[in-house]
Amino acid sequence: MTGGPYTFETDNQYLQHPNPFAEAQRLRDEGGSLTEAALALEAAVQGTESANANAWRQLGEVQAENEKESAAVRALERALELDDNCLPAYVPLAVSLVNEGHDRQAYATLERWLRQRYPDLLIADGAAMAMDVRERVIDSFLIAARSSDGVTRDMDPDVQVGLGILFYGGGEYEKAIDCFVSALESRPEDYLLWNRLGATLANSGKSEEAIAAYHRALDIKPTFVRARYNLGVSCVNIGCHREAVEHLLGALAMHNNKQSTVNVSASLWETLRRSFYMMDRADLAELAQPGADLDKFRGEFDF
Amino acid sequence: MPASANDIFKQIATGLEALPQEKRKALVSKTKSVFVFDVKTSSGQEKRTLNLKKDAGSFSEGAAEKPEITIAIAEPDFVALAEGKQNGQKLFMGGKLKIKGNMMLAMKLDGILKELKPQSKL
Repeated sequence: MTGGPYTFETDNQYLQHPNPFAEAQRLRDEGGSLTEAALALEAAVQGTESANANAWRQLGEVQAENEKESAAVRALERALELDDNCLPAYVPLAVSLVNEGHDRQAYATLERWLRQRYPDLLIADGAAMAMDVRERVIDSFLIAARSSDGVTRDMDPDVQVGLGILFYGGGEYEKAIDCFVSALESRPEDYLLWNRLGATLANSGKSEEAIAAYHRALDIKPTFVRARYNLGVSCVNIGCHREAVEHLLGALAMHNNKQSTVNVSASLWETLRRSFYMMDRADLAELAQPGADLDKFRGEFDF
Repeated sequence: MPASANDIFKQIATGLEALPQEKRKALVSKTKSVFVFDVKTSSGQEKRTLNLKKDAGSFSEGAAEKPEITIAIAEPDFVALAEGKQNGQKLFMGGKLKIKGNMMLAMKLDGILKELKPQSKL
């Protein structure tokens, strides 16, 4: 759809590991480094797990948490190519597509998920009615919300999250916030949801509340690079550039970048350059390119 | 400390500077227009030109001579617009954002300002 084939890191010690897939599970369960987990999963899908949609889905999730969006999109698309019944791949893919500005594809992905998740649901054929895609998918999700309410008396939190993404994509931030807050009521330890709530608050101009939500996410999952990136973005937006730089450098340090790294985080480097320009430090901005040695910044910044 | 029009101008300038070349060129080729911001502050009119017409684009002081669109707005509304607390269409409907030139370009303004800001990720 958007990404083409996934590009693998060339320098990967897990290629020699006897069971990289099991090692990846261990790293994820123990809250280890996302970069290490991604490498282990890359080795797994290049070996015995190459046709395992679930392994590709996990690789996509880890890359998104590690703030490497285009790699995430490619891995998640591969998961669904292998098995369109791999339900947990849809929502993360929709999220990554919205983040990359591919809104229509994100809505189509959510619609596919809803049809797989609720095959018996009667969804109006909006295409025939020439409705706006986003409004059409929102209508379908609201139908699903009402029907699940009747059966279990609890709303499906995945439906809430899907609705949150749809409202977010249309700039209806207040409604999106309500969705993420109610999804958090049933999943208070879900660090992804705390981050999604934070990003929505940030985009509606509530940087301080956003920062509190990101800290909740990081308390639960300290290695969550994306939340640290977002924390950097909110610091830029409230004019705290030094703090922003320290969060962004901290996130990049978790990547443990080598010169040879293939999947770099464009957003982390871009925001770091921007923060340096805001501090009138064009000299540092010019150094802040993918592959740069982070030790060059250690003298001036704590991270 | 609430942001001022100058903070927003600086954000736009650095946002353009920090974009990688290919994204900058992509923004120019999908916009192909010159925007002038005419912001009313307590100390007078501040004018800036966001040129997204050719090459890598630029942001500069003063007003270009023949922009495709001039946007006249008061400082607090300009700040709210850039921070995402207000949208361009609502400000326009409420008479708080005035447009001279190509009206359709105003519709692109929210998106352009968003692209020049660091993006939070869901």
